[in-house]
Amino acid sequence: MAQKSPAKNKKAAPRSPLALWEKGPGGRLLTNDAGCHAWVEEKDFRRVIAGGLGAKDPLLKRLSAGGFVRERMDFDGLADRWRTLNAHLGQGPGLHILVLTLRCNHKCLYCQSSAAGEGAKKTDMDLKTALKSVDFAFSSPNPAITIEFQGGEPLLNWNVLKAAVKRARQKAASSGKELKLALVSNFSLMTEEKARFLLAHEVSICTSLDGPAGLHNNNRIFAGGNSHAATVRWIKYFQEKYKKQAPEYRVFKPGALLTVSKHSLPRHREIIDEYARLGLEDIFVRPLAPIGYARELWGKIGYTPEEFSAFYGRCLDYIISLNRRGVVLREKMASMMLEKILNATEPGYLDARCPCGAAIGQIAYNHNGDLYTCDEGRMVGWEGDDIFRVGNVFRDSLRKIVSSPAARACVVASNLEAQPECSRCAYKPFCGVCPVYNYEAQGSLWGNMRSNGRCSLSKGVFGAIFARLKRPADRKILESWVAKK
Amino acid sequence: MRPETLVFKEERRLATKTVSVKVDLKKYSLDAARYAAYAVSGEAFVFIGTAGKGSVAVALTPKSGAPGPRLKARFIAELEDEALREAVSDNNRELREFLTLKALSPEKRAAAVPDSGLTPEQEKELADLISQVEKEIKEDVRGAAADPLGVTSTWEDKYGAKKPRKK
Repeated sequence: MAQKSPAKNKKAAPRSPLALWEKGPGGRLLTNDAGCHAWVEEKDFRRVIAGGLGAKDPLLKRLSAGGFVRERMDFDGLADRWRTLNAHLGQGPGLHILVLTLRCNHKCLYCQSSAAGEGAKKTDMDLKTALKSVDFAFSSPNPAITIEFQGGEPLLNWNVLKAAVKRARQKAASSGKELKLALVSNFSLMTEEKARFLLAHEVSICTSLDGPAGLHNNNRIFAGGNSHAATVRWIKYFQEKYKKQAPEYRVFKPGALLTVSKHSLPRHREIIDEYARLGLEDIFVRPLAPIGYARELWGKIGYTPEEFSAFYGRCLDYIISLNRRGVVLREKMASMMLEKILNATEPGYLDARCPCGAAIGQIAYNHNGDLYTCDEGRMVGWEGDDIFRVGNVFRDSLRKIVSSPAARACVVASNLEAQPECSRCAYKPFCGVCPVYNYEAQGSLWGNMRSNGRCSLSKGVFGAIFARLKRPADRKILESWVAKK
Repeated sequence: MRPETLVFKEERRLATKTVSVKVDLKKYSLDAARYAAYAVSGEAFVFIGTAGKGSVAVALTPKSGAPGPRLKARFIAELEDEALREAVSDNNRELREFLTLKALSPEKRAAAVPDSGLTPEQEKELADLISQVEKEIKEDVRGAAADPLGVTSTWEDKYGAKKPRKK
């Protein structure tokens, strides 16, 4: 980063640095709006804040490079970082979640997607709604969109899924828009024929894997058989296809999501080993949220933010130790945050944006054509409270959806500059709040961050990441997770 | 026991646990007191009231078992921290605004456009035309003023329909 010469500012009075701070192990973490960070020892902190660094002070050079010293700022470089870190502003909705059915053949302990029984066919999305939803998604001004097929179990509505995939590919060809298609499935209904269709249409595949068989099957109850066996079988199938690739189309590496329940907490090694055994290169250590059915069962399956933070730290350490032994495995949440922290790049994670992705970054399309700020907002609607409903795919325009009262309220409530705690927090450049979580857990879109479980949990995750970035050996491995190839 | 009696007893129980801190507004701003109050609001109910000229009284009532003196000490520590954060924020407000404006300004994107191959006269003519159109757009209250980033525009509004790509 080129810096302004300090000579011109020789006579200027020392000024405090442009920084937010947080207490950490052995010092303070400083961050700024451009997403730069630096550690200073506690003994130096007051001196730094008072702007009392002399020209020969070694700290001056280090802090100048991070844009903390106002007399030595690279305005172009910092503005560039700010811009790329906040690249989502002005793009329009990029993620379009089509809930093809609420039916599911699993009865997971923590189910957050508010699934209905297998017989509830009235909760299937019909063909007309699916095609209209695809067309609606393409009306977004975002040049790159992702259509994600979800449920319930979306394979229970296979014909509609197939038609929606074909329509989306046709629309992508005619519009010139970049399109990603993604399917989230438990794999229990996957067949060779379905898999071939999905591969040929470049649909990326993601499933749930909660760890070894005992733990997975305990969390993800499948009356029709062994959930873990079906999941593992198809992960291996898609891994094999990925390795071989195909001349006519791209084959994506399959992904898997871990949902952490209370039962997972003592078993981090077994869970991570299971992912490594299957050759999965990413593990997303996702906390449960007290939304949907999980809220009712929180006492049995939930945990405190402190318990999750400790678990997350153990997971990170173990994954890093596996990396040292040559295993390719990254923790997904850390990877996304490292994209922001190290590369000042917006990784497309809608849960940690300012403002949040509600309607302006994503839209959830319910089976009946109703549109919601996000999938979590849709789940609240399923419980009988339509506060996050932003319109209907047949009746409303994109403009009306994005400027609906619910969307506006979520944008205002998730503006970190207006959140008293967040506006002062060192993790602000990388974080985001969730109005749906706040509403469900604390009874208001704004919430109260000082007693907010999600905030405590995020602070725990950031604390764990920054603590490991401070250790040179760990930092090297974390940097490799987001190194530009 | 009647419900009103229960409420009264609870109020009395809480009142006995309440601790109060007087904040001198010559030393700390009201905003710093408010932020500090928010910072302890996870553990305590906080009530800010006037306390004579130039000061406020902050009453802290623990939500659970947190002892009053510890809560008071935490509030004072938060107040000091907030005063420091406020000073840093005030010192840098204009600089922050400048940087944010710079990041959001389209200047950078314009600079990245490759050489158009036009003569300086043609460039000026084009620039005048663009500025005239931009002025017209700004006057269209329904469009630009309501949605400067074009988030609510459709793909076709923004980019127009494209021809299918050749395979």
